[in-house]
Amino acid sequence: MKAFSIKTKVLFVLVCSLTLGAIIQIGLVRDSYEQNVAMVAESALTSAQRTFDSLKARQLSSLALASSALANVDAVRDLFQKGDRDALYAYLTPLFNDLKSREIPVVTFMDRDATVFLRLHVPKNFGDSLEAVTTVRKTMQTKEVSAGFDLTKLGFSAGSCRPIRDREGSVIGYVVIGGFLDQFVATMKSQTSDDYILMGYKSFVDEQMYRNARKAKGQPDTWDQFASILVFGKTREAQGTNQYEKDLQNVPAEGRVLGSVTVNDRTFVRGVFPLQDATGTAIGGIFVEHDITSLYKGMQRVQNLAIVVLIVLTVLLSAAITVVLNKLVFARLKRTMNIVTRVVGGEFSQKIVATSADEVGRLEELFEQFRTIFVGLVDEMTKQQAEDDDKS
Amino acid sequence: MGVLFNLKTKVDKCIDEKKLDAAAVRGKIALQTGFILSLITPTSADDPVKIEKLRKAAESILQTKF
Repeated sequence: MKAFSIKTKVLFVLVCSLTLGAIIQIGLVRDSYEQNVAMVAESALTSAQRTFDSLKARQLSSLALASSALANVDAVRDLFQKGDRDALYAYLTPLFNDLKSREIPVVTFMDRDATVFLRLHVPKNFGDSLEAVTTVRKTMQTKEVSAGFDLTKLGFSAGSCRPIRDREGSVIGYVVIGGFLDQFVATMKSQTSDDYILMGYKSFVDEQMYRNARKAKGQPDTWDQFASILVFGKTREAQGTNQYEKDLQNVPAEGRVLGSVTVNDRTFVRGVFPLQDATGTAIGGIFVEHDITSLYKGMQRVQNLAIVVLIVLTVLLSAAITVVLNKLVFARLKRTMNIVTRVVGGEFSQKIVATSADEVGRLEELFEQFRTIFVGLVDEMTKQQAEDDDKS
Repeated sequence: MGVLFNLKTKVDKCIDEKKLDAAAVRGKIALQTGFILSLITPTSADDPVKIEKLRKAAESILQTKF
């Protein structure tokens, strides 16, 4: 049986206890970090959503205002009712130029069946139907103004659609005023400092129109970047390939925290919230990336510090306990053992003096009593032996 | 008679020659054998078990052949 000294056992228990303590401490630090990350992620997501809602409300409000102004101008109504496309275009061109300078680049007039009558931004393109656009469809159904985001054949757009009524109040057509969302995420970043990626489903977009539009704007063709989604706006490059599509599936209205990711020594916490059109149909989402590098490094610092403290503490405590145990127990036991050995070896005059009244001291006393009895017995046996020798 | 005592005498002599701490070494031998060397006299019986125990303990502690 292999025997370990008490000193070894005590030091082993000490190291185990300190290691366990350190593991618990590191676990608590990590748990606290995870909680902080979750809190920061929730906060970043909420902040992004609020910013988005605020910008959306502002944009839709200005679009609604512009559409109202256009639909209620008598001259516009009369020219539209007459079907005089050129005159209407000529009349509205100065106003349209002003709207374009305010980032409202889309003004479209439609007949009652949503067939395009005039696009101020592309006057030569008309005659196609916009009935598939949700905001338009909603206005056609309700005969009221509606506004919202749409994923059209070209990409994301914000639009306000309003019926145009004749002087008797009958609907004679519709006007849509809108803008694209490409720069939306850049505006959000300027307000929150977080990064955003605006993505939408390919199924709503016309591939050829999308490719042509990208080419016309001098932007890279990213149609094939993902299988079922497209990037419509971003403040940083999308990482990975399949993750975004999975993340976009069944996103609740309040959004979803997606955990943290480390890219190029920077740690981010990610989240996504859905984009819905005027009817509440999911058409894509905005991914939020909040930089938590400093938080992560802080956690790592604490973790490393805990390990260093553990090592230093182990060394110091081991040394201290060794010294104390040596002085209080082992040195005194060794001294007693030496005396007992010497007494057995014939040095009967050696006495064991109790050095303290503690447990070891009581053991020393006991050994001294034992030594006295032992020496008496040896003395007696020696005398007896001498007598026996004399007799023989 | 005398074999045990002779062995004990040889052990004592070896301890002296090696200038060892006599009490300590004799104590270690006694603890190993289970009997006290001081009680071995010229008239002590030559118990073969005792002789073997003493020889083994002395050889082990003093690293000398007896």
